[in-house]
Amino acid sequence: MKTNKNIANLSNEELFEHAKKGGQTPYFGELYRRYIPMVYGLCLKYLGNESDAQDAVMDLFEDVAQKISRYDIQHFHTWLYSVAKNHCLLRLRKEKQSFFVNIDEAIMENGDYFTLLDKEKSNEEASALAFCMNELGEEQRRSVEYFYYENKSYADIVSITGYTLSNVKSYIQNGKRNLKNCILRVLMKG
Amino acid sequence: MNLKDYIHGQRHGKEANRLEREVMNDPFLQDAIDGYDSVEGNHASSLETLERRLILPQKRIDRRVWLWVAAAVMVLLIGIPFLLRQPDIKEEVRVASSEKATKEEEAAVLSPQKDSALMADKLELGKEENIKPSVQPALAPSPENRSMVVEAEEVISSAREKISSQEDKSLSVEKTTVKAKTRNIKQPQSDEMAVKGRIVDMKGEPIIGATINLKNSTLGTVSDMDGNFAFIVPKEGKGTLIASYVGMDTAEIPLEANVGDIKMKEDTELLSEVVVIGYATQRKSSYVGSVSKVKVPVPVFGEAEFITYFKKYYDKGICKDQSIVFTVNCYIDANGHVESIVIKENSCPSLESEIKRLLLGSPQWTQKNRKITLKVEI
Repeated sequence: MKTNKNIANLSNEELFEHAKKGGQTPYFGELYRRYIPMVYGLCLKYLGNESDAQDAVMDLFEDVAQKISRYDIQHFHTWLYSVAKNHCLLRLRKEKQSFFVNIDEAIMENGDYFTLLDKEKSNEEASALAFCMNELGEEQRRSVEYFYYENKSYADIVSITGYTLSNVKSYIQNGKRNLKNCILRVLMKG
Repeated sequence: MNLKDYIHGQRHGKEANRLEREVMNDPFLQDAIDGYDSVEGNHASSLETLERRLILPQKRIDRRVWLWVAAAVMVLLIGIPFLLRQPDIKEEVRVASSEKATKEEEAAVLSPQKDSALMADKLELGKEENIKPSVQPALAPSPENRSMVVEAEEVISSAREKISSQEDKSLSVEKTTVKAKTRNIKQPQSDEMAVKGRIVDMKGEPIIGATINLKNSTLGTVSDMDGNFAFIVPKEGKGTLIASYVGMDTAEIPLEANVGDIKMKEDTELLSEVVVIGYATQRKSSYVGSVSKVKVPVPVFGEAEFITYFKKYYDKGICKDQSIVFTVNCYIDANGHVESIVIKENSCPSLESEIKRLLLGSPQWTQKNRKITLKVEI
């Protein structure tokens, strides 16, 4: 039997390989333990209070241990996300007739935009990007620049620019969207 | 930077930026951060507690095994002596032996006293010995033992009978179960009688799960897969059976032993509207949610509209060749309906019933809670 020290050194993927077989093994235990902060945070978001969220984390431990061997799971991370979220939503449905989930931020922040910002680019792509950055409005351009070129965090950008946190987030999201559209147009014409 | 640090307020610098980029592509992470940002609390300690409770799953399993073993041992410890003892005898035996012991003590204490007293005690002791069963465990029944055992058994079995007969009754009264419990009905006593019958709809099709009750009592049952029912009622002679089912008019039938087929008629009243919101349904009148209220426009109906209405619908054959002029007072109540009709003047008395009919049957009046005076000339 592997000692605790060895288990702690395994990667999430390796742990999952063992945990897949099912049951509350030490492998599963360690894997779930690493996810506790994320699961707890998610439960806080949907259930709205600490004690319900804590109960949910405990319930999910057993729930996930059972389910992990039953399904063909490609990606543990995304699978756990849906199991946890569904558990919380199901719980909410039992308690209330209607509840509100704020989707604004989720819509704002998601999206795998084709912006070339994080990627290797050819000369042509690089000049397209540079051109489009100039086409952006001032707030969007500054926010995108600070975030992607200077690796500043949201909080940093707030201090530098004086924009509010939510504005910084939306400038970056909208900026990315505009960049994507612009770059595609430029590259198509070219 | 790991999530914990970010949660605890470390939001500046390159590492924070890196996490934030990760968040953009990971909705799981996004939701988690949203949770910490939206709920107040000492998250660090909560997380610590959770980890402690979930850590070392082996110990958890061991503890479980322990619990099972402990539970099994407890059951054995309690169960075995319980099975072995015969309660009445042993208690008496214990009582007897303890009484005996105390008596012996008393006797010993009394010994320096008079002989007669001692003799009397001994005699009493002797008597007790004869009357009380032997001290030995109840496995060797003396005649008296046996009779006691038999008595005890009789008591127990009659108690059991009482319990089971009560259970039968309470089961048959259970109105909410759909499964018919009429199968194992026991034979009625001399002061009771069985009621049997079948519930069908207007087409003669059996109705499953309809409720049949004896009026003003808790006795009743539900109909089975063939619509049949049977239950036991006191043999008082008169009574009424009430058959009910969702969507049908409730039927009342005089009580008799063989009721035959009870035909139930469909309830023509429409069910109230139901609004579907996400995964829950609520009656339109009571929901509070994100669906915006839709106002159904109610047409204005007042004096002028009534006059038009009257002219349109009154029976023109009644006062054919006469001029029609009348004045009527009435009251519009809180629901917009007419009440307290008083006809003040009427050129054609035969029209009176028409006036009343059309007033009472008019559409809902817009302005409510007021007295009105109508003057109509045709």
